[in-house]
Amino acid sequence: MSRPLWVAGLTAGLTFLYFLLTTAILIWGERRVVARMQSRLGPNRVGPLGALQTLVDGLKMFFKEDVTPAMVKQPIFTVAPLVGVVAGLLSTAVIPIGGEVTLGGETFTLQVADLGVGVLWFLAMGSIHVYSVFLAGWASSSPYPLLGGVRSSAQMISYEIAQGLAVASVFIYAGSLRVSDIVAAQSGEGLLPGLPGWFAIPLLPAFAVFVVGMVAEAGRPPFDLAEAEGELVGGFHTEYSGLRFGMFMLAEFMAVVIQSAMVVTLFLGGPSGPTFGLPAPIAAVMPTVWFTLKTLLFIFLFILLRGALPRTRYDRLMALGWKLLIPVGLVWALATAALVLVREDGGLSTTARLGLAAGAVVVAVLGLATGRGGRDAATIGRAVSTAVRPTAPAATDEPDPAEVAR
Amino acid sequence: MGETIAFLVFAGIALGAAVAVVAMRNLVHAALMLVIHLLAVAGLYLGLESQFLAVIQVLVYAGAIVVLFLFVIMLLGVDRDDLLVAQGRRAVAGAVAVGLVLAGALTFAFVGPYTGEASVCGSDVAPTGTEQSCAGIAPVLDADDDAGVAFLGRRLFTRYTLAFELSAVLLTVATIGAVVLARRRDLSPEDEDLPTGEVTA
Amino acid sequence: MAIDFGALGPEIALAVTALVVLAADLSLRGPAKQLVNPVAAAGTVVAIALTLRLWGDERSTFGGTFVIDSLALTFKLLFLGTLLAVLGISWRFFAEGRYFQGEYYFLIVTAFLGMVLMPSARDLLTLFVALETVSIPAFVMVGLRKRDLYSSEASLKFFLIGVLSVAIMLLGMSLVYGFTGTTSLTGIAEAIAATQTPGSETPLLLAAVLLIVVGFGFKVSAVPFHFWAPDTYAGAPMPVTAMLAVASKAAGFVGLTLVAFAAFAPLAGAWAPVLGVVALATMTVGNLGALQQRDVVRLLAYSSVAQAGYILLPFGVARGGTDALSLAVNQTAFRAVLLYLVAYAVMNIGAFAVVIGVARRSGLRATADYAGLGARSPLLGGAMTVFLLSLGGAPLTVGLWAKFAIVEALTVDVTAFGLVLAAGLVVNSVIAFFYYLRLIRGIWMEAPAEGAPVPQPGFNLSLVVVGLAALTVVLGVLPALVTDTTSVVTLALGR
Repeated sequence: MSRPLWVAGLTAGLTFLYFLLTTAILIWGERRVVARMQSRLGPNRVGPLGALQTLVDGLKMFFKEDVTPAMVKQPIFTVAPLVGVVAGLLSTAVIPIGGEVTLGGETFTLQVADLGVGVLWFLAMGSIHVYSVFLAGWASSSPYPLLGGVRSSAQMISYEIAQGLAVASVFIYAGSLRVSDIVAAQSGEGLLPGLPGWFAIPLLPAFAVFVVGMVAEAGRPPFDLAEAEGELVGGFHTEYSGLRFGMFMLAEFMAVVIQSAMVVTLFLGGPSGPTFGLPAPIAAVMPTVWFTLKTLLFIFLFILLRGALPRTRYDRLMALGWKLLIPVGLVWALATAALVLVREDGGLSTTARLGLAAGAVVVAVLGLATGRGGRDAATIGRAVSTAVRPTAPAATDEPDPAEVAR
Repeated sequence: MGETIAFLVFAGIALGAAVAVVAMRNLVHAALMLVIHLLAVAGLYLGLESQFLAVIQVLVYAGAIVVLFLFVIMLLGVDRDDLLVAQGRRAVAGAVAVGLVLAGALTFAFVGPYTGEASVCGSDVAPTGTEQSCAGIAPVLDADDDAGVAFLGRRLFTRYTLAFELSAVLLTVATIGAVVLARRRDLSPEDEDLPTGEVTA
Repeated sequence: MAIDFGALGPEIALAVTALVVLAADLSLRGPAKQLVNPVAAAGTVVAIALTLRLWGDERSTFGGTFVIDSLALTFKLLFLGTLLAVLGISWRFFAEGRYFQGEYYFLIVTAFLGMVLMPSARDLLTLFVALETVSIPAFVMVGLRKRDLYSSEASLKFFLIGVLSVAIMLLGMSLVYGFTGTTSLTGIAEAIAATQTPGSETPLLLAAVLLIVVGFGFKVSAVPFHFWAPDTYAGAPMPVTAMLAVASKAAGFVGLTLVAFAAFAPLAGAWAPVLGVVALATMTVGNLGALQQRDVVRLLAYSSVAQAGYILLPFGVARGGTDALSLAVNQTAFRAVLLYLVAYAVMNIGAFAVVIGVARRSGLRATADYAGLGARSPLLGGAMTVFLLSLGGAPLTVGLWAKFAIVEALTVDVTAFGLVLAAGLVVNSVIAFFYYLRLIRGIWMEAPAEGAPVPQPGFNLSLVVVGLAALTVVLGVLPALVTDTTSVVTLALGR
């Protein structure tokens, strides 16, 4: 796939702008929505409905004095925020933000690079992002940032496994790691006529694991233990100010957008959607519109979570990841493999069906007889309920991080 | 040409970072140099058209293993410089000498046979004298280009299934072993009542 | 590709046993935990039965990376028999010692799973993973005596050196792969035979082969890679020491045999002299070290280093050619190794079993504590005498025939180097007899120390000791029982 340089440049530029703009919308939307949830007004001075507030904040962040405490370890202190932003931007490279467009005699997809290892690239960049948080915490030479950094690295690595297992189901089901193949595999009709062929439906458990995992990966409430204002004074970025603090903010909010875009790509068909027979120039933009709508849906979910849920306790967070999400992801990856195998063989024979039924009965009886199943269910129930039980001071009336910085 | 430049750049970074891993006196800095080294090696894999291996290298080594290294270093608080004292001049000189000898031997072993035209994979030039022809990569080159994923997957689940399954056992063993060695209490309280006399007839 | 699950029977049985042991350990409480031992033993018996069922078969699966033939089956039986004996000597030791029993039995069964796989592996990758499956449980098992700093030190030493040797071996393997383009052992041999002319081999390839050999050298504790062995053996729980000294070492020899005779046979002209010299050094250093020991475990550790030297000797005369004489030399060398490993397993586990029996409840393990053992416990004293005589190579014991086989292998085709090696063997046997006899004299001729306790080995241990002692003598009188089997084991690796 060789394309002219200007096409590559254009797609890269568009993708960059797209994610930056969506991030700006997220920050504004979050402040408006959370304000509404808390019976406040939120930013409403700059621009219509305060929509330009993010821009102004960004400018302010840019011109503020950048204080570097004396005890920090250079140059890591300076490099850490850069790593986060760069890794975030790089991971957008494999996300298609639209369908095929024809411009200047060239037909191309709005995707920077359709790598053969597509989704793994996204995961790899996510794992590089860990360094940003971790090194920021260490280079600050201060207890709270270090704690925040250590916490978040453990959290991110744990949930990366869960996310990776969820993504493995997608690989198996789609039969490819390439993002364009995964999107194409979701384009047809689903299991039932009338339903879209989105992977979220046949791979519902994996989808659920991925969604929970992405909240933790992005370090957003209720899983924002890396910064935990109540206990860690802001965690890893306590010692940062000015532009470098801004970069952390940008990386964190952009992670929300990227994770939302990724879940849409992997499980909700990406930019696919009906074009309603519209004329060509508009039809070419429709995929981008669909993609944006789906992504905004998840961004809204992130905002709602933040407004509604208090922070979890750290051990419960880890228990949720290791004892619930990873097993579910693992089992579902195996189940998906079995499903694909059966589909390839053209359905199950009667003997196989009987065998499976007998196996299920045996497992059920064993579970009932030992009582272990019940206990496990109780454990899972506890894990789920504790994930939402308030354990930290109510997070809902905390001010915006952006406002704290001001 | 571009490939050669990419190779030289990545190889240079990898070598420099590898030396820095050993030379740096701060453990955290050494671990970070290790990350850079691993990333550069991932770049070398990319040069060999093995995207999958490159990404896995980043994901597993740089993204998980070294993070855990750093985790341990920081939790144990051994990131102070004074803990790493060189073992005297003689040890350093010995290490440098061994390293130089090894590097020289490898250079000698590689430069002659593996720098000619014949050692390029897929070339038609017949090897002469001590020159070696490319071996081993042929099946990979023949395989359909799927970032190496399909080829690797097929190999892993046909010829090497047994080794693959066995490594699952290996990982279980390593996990259980780590738990056994790390468990602070040696036995649970009820085991403390174990009679020291004859237990069974 | 269909998988021949029947051929994998013993491995599957052991893997299932390991998991059952783990699950049983979870559900058992208190003293009942020791019941995992018979569970593991039952699984081993099943594995032995499945191995015997395959007897005489020639099968291969996984694209030829896994092979069932007489060589593989013989070694599998050796390993499984060893596992039974080790389980026998472990029961009381671990039940009374407040260890993590379930985990121990899980680890030891998985270690033996790796060993059972090794002789069937015909691919560098499978061989390597199998070798790791032997090593990694061993690292943990050595450190099981967690309150004992010596055990931790032993474990750490073993771990660091083991990892280093694996890294070296892996470097060699990757160079060999880069050179030949295959990981299959026969494929490597073919590629080497096709590209190399004897006498002017590529230096890189020779270096790679030596790196792999060095890796196995660590595994079998050959000089100069032996220095971990005495400390590790002394620090580890004693049944684990027996396992390391016998089974783990035998696994190393199996791996060495496979790579040396299957993959690198054409290069024998390069590695055989190296291994010959290493063998001479190993047995000399081992025996001289053993002379100075006052701790029986350390004495046996050095003795096992020396024994590794004996077993390495036949490798020293291996030949690279494909003529009838070279093949006969290699064949005899291999059979000598096999016979010695069988004999060594019987007598060395026996010796360790006696040491465990003596140390039970009293913890006595100095050579001085063995004074008057014959009077206090005729059973243990007599058995120890048999084992020590056999280790030395006295008549009427299996040790004699084992040494005899090695001398035979060294002199199939009389060469100067072969004679030097044989002379080294004789001289070393004399040195070894000195410290073995010194211990035997203590057992029978010296009076026991004041208040020395009467050893209580317990039933299982006594059974193992008696069985192994009987086997040592029976095989010493009727060596045909085992040589009939070993002589049909052929080195037909080139398939």
